[in-house]
Amino acid sequence: MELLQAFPAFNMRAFAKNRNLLPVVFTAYGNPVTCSHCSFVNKAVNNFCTNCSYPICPTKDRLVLYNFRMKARKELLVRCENSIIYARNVLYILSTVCFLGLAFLFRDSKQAEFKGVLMSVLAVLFLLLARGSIKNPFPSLLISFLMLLTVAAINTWSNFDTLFTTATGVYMLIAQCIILFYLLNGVKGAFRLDVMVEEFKI
Amino acid sequence: MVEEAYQVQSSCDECEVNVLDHQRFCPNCGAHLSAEPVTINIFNHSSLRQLFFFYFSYLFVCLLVKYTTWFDSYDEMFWIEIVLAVITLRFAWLNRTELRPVLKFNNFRWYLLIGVIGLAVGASSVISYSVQEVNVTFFNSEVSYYKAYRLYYFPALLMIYSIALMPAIFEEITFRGVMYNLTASFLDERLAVIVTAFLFAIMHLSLISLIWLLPFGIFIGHLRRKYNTIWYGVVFHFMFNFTAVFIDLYRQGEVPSFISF
Repeated sequence: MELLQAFPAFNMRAFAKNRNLLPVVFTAYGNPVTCSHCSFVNKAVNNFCTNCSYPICPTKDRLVLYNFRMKARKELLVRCENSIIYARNVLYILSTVCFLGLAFLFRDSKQAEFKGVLMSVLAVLFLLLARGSIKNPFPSLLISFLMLLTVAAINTWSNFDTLFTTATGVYMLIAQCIILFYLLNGVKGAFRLDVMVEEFKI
Repeated sequence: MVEEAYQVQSSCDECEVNVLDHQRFCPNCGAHLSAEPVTINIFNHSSLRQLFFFYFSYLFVCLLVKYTTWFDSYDEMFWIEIVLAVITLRFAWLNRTELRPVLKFNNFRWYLLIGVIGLAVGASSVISYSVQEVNVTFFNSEVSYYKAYRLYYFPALLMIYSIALMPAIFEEITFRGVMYNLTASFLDERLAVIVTAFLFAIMHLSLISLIWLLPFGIFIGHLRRKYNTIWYGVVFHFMFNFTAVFIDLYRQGEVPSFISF
């Protein structure tokens, strides 16, 4: 309150005395200019807004450059989203395949029943991760990638003898590589998307 | 003018005009000044890279133990425990600044500690009996930890050291300490709890164990997030494993000798 009372309207003497305490807006480069796109305060000498890159004085050539850059960023955003969608679809496919494992429950063997239960658990897990990737793509796909990479490592290590010498082993290897490829792309896309969306929000 | 004296200056890659540190786009040509979106890569993120490296070092050692015949007895397993402890301490040292606050027993409450211990004992008893039932029903086999330790002096104490104490301390430093901090540096803390719980669960290399290890990891992660300390998690983990050891000793008829010792 004391500080406010020290600055009555148009009290130039108090202003001159205490100007060092006031926030600095005005600089030697001239009057500040407000960006017409994001309302960020820029220097008048700027050609582009330093917050959103929109031209301060929107001439035709500057607008073309701005639109070109924005288009490139949006295309990249779409590519990232596509890679996330592919990864999510892979998770849905895995979930479906695991749900097919429920058929094991109908076999007359305790171990097959156990396998069936295990497959159902995995199916639910993949389904939850796929659904989670809609709201939080990066953590969901990161978890999926690490989990499947671990499973692939276990599978490769435990079946190393048959992996390269039998048809089943080779198919398994190819399937693992395809799944991991799409998931890694999804993780990379989700990471990039998070960074870009943050920037777009600013 | 005074304000600008504190700001670091660099130059735009495209037009080489001097720009200030806080500017996101070049004031002269409008080019993006931080990393270009095309160059943003998951592998350029230092925390993520460290997380991957730490996780796969751990995973490699665990796979080595599980899928080779080199570590069949505790003589070799002892050294594996030491290796895992060294890996953990190495990464803990690298992240010591972020780790130091959670190594203190913050927000200590007796009733909470007793609750955590009670919950660990209860959960471990239920899970030990369920796993035993699953093994007997589906595989006609009975798994016992004691058999691997009975050749040594003081097998019960050795079991507590190897199954309860070492994993409780070092796994908690690994997952709720280092990995949690690394994950929380690029994710929301709630998501960090879930990610570390998954990492913790799959590191045990057993798909069926995911059923209880996942809630286990989420619960301990929640304790870590809420009280900003790993010690409730360590106590929970220790008591959980200790109860499993105790039940195993009880099944083998070794509890009287353990108590008399």
